[in-house]
Amino acid sequence: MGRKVGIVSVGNTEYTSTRRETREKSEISNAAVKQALDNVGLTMKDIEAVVYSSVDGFEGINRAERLQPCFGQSYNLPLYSLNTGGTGGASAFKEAYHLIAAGLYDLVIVFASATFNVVVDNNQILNTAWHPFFEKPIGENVITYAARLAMKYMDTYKWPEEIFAEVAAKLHRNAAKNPYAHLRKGYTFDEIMASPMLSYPLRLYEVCPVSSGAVCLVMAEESRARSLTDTPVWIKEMASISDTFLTGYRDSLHFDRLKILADRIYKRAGIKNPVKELDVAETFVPMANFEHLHYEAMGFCEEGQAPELIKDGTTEIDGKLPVNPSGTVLCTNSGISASLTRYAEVALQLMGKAEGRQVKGPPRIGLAHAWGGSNGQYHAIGILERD
Amino acid sequence: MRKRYSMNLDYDAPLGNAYSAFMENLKNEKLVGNRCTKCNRLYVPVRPFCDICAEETTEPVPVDSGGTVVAYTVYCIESLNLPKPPFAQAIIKIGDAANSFMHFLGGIQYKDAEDLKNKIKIGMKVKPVWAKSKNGDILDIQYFTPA
Repeated sequence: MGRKVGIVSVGNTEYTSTRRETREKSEISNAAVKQALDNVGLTMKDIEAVVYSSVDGFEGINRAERLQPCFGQSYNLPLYSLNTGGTGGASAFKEAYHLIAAGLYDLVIVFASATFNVVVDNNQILNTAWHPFFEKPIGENVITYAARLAMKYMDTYKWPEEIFAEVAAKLHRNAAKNPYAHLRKGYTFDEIMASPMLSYPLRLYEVCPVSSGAVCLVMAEESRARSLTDTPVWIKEMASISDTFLTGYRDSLHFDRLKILADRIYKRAGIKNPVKELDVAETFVPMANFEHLHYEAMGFCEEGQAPELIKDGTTEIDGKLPVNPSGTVLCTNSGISASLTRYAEVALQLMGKAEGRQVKGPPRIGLAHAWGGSNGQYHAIGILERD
Repeated sequence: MRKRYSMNLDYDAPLGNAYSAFMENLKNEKLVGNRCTKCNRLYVPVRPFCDICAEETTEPVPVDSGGTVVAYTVYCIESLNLPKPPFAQAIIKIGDAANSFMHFLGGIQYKDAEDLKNKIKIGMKVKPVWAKSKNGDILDIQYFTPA
């Protein structure tokens, strides 16, 4: 156990589509960093280290230095750069937590890139993340990956394809209340079912958009955190897990590593009944069917029963365990920022600053999750709490 | 203003003994697998070493090329540098291999993408259809087709 570490500030930019984006990459980054610092009256001069994450291939350049002007290049700061694919933001968050908990620094910023804002076709780039001789030539990308899981889920548990539209409808409804969501149209079940098929059984509005925008967190050691804000959010536990590179080891049905990770972190945090004990959860759902798999791996329900939790309202904003009140990645996929946003969203919920998407209470303890890698080699979970 | 650009980068990768043997055998319309010398798990496609034990794997030997569809989808949209849609793509398990591999499903008559989706079943037995010209490449198998 190290020192207690808190999130003291969240800096967000506006989110839009990559095609409508007019801001240059560094302008987006600087806006997020500056807002995070401004919220608590800091400047980059006060910061002791920067933890950054992006992912190769999507940036239109292969190194992080492009964003150095946003990271205190004038103040001789150390920069830690991490890349665990889509989980990168969570890995950066975890690294910042470790650095402060270990006593190396008291005040750190975590920034996750607005990764996708220069891409022409995300699937073209995602395809290059799979093995070049075995899986890339078969047209693999994250939509085919998720679609196979969805087909397998329907086949195994005998659910109809409407279950995916039911999840998506909840998420679009939530995102409409979130000023930091990209898609805020609140698409209904009928509109989702009428949207074009992308890869059976997943339709357009059951798959994330490609978004531009970014998020930044300021994290601090306990006494600094308390001096900077009245609403620090503490990291109770943080853990991550990895899986094989090749797809062919998965059963195409479960997120089995996520289950191992969830069991591990619940044990450490003393959580026995997550639905009862957690007040809010933000999980990484770029394709609607992931939310079912999360519920089952995270012990919110038995295997094959996740659609019931959507139908009975358990995970609505006013439900027993609100899951993804922000509308999650399904409505805003800002690339690597989207994984850090899960942590930012739980922090905002616990601070009572989640505006239209605020869970009543306000909540005291929340779970933030991120998923990433070409076919989900990585999961990360943080348990966050307030005083 | 926006600026469009691309990066054309060339690579030249040595494959090692196991992958080389796998690709060479594809040229002769043979699927090969290998086993862990410690846990005896079968790998198709071959693995250079056992992913679980980190021990050596055996010399690759031909295996029955029939397989079973574990999971699949039919992809319906145009994407840059991806195959022309619609295409059916599956995770296929060969025999009792510990891993499985990804390939196209083809040779199925269909009206539209939905019809193609309906004509494929999880658990369906499939066999490879070989490409006419071969280059020691995973696409020397043109696709798998219902057996």
